[in-house]
Amino acid sequence: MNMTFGNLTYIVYMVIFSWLPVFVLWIKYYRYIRKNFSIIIKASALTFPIVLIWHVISIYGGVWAYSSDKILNIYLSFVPLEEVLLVASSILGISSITTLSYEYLHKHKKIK
Amino acid sequence: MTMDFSYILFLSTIIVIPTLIIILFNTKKITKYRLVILLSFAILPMTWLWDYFATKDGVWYFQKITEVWVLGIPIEEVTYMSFLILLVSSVTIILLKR
Repeated sequence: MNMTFGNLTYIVYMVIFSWLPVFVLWIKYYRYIRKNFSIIIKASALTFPIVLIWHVISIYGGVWAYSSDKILNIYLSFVPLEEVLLVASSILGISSITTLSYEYLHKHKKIK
Repeated sequence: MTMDFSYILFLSTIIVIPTLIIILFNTKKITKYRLVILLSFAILPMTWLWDYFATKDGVWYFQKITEVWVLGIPIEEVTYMSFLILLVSSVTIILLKR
């Protein structure tokens, strides 16, 4: 896969690999997501700052960098906008998977 | 090619250690629901996919890593993704079972 979407390349990757799966997950398991939505939001709100701080420090420290021709070049404290959105959607996705796993195992009496 | 431990250092300080502290303070609950955390790791192949393709496509490039690569991505990225899943799923479980 070598996508040539210019400055929208990162956005396209994000939509395909993060937003779309999370969206499908939320639509398919709407009932369970709705039931645990406040927990998903709280867990995301607690972990998002930690991960974001790590990104800011790492990017500032030059651990990794971004190709300016493949991102929008909108930065929030050294972090590209796409990266901030990716971190947020990834965390929401992981928290959603966790609640769904809990509901699944609970339903099948694998956990109490 | 030189080994640089900056990634590992930042990751350990800001993500790995806080995650382990959270788990340590909630060992009983986390252990009880370890199967939930294990199942949450099902998302790992998806995170690997986007990282692999974005790295290959040059969306981002790594500068201070150990140069140990696992299936097309730096070992530090695998560690980051694993600990991200561990951190978020642990916090979710703690909130689920309050």
